[in-house]
Amino acid sequence: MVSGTGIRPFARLVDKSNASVWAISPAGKLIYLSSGCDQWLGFDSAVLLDRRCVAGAPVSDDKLDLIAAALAAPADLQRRGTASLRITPPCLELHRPETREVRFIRIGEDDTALTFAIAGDFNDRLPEPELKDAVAIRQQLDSWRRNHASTAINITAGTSNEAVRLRRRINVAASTRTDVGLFGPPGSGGESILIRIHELSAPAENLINIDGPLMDSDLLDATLMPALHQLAESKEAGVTALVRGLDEMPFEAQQRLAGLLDTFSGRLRLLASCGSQLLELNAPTDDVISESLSLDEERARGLCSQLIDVISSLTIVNRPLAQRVEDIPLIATAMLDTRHAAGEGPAERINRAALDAFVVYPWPHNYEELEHAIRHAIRTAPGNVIACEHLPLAIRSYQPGANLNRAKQTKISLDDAIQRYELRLITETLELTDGNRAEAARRLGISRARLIRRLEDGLPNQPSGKESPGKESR
Amino acid sequence: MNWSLIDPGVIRPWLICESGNRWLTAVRRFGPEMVPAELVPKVESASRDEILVTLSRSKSSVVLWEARRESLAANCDSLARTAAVNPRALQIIACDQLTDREQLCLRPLRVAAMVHHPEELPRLARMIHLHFARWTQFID
Repeated sequence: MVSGTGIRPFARLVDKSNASVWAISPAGKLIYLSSGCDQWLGFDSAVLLDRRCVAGAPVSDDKLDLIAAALAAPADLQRRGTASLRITPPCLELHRPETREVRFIRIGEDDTALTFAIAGDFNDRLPEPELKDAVAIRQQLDSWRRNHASTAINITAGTSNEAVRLRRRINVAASTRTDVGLFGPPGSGGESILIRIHELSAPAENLINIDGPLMDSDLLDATLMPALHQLAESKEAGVTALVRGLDEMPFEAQQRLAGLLDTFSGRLRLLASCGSQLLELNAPTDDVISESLSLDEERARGLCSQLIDVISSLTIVNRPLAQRVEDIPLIATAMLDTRHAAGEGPAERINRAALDAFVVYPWPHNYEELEHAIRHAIRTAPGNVIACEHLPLAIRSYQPGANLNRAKQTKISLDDAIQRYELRLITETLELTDGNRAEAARRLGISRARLIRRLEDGLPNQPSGKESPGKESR
Repeated sequence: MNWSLIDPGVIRPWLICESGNRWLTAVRRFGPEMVPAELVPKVESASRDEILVTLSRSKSSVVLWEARRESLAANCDSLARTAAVNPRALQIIACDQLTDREQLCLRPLRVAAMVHHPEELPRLARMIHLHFARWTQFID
């Protein structure tokens, strides 16, 4: 196409589109303004042609020169080739032009460089929904870190009621030196919470780690011996015993521990993870603090009554991850942040599809499983975004739904199901035989009387021997 | 699942109209926990027309519509028609890209709740539980 003849239809089309478009010559003068500019500026824009349109160049006091200068491209356009600018041209008369987003494009080099400008409403600066979502999660995470800097353990991140309660309990435990019983399912990160509580409430105090299930009375004494010496030597000394699996500790060892706690009352502190049996402790008719239990009952409970008294001073409940669904994106991102900060990999965020997979997964092994999944994803993801394909197979291939429905289905009796199946077969056969019961019974291999009995059993509201409308009984 | 083995009287449709399967997966995960124990939700993906047909002959049910900017008018129409066809249907909007103004457009059309991401679904458990419990007297 020859430019001399093609430019006119092009200009007509631009004018027709009502878009505000202008062009700036290599010499920095306005050489074209579309008719859309007339509406925007509020006057015939042809008067601006040949006026200087260069950013930062000196201009006269002439209002038209000022308006032309306002339409200039930013100074760095020459270097970058494209630029965006919000422009509010000065008003010539009463009309006040609105502020518009303008995109500048520079084509050609040096003496041949032309600049085109298009004003309008562009939404290409809006973040992608995916990024918008990531930004929202990041803001929530920053807010959580700001407000809970001291107790910012990843599993306490979140906005759910459970997260709020957990944080409050931890704050109370961290601000007082008291015995603490922590209840939570396996893999719920109870030990990290207890260590954090110790670091905040009594950082200078010795911490003795005790593995509850492996203890007996003698081994417990041997483990605590240095601490007991320290307590005996100085009346000012304090020691914290961190017991993992207190509910699995042999009963004799529990009683020995309770005795030591009583002997060094207040100075030997117990921080214990106690399994997930808090419901039993909190049963309304079961006042565990005042009630005296028989030995058998105590054994059945898993905790001796003296230790229940001790941990009743402050209990913390850490719910399973599956019960904190709305916190999962935040917790996962917090875990990723921690690992990214430690230089474990390039991944900086988790995309929405991967977060959805996290949300839907039931997390039978709780927070530890999530931590493992994040670690796996960081190793697998080559870039800075973790996607679904970078997650462990169990998570990315999980298909929900069937189990719960199946569990409910077991409440349906077999007899009912068989009756419905029989009735459906009979009804279908009756339709095929045009309501002829004798023929239907023959096709089904049963007697006519049996067929009628089944119909009567299955359709209790239908009078015996009567057919539905339109069907003739034979 | 073999639905013929389940008493039809306890089955409640939970229909989902969306372009992918994001919400279908989410409802399959959280839906069964959100309805009363004696009922079984039948979670299915369906087109707009199929939903209207199903609702015209069903009892209390839940419909989840995925709303997108480009199909907002169609969403409005579907919401209004569904409310007319079956007032017992509880309508939920799933939208993660709509502006506040666009969400406000949908609100008056018998929308019970709006969710943006699957993790928000369990928040609706009480509402959905009550919705089904309200119509329990009509169980067949």
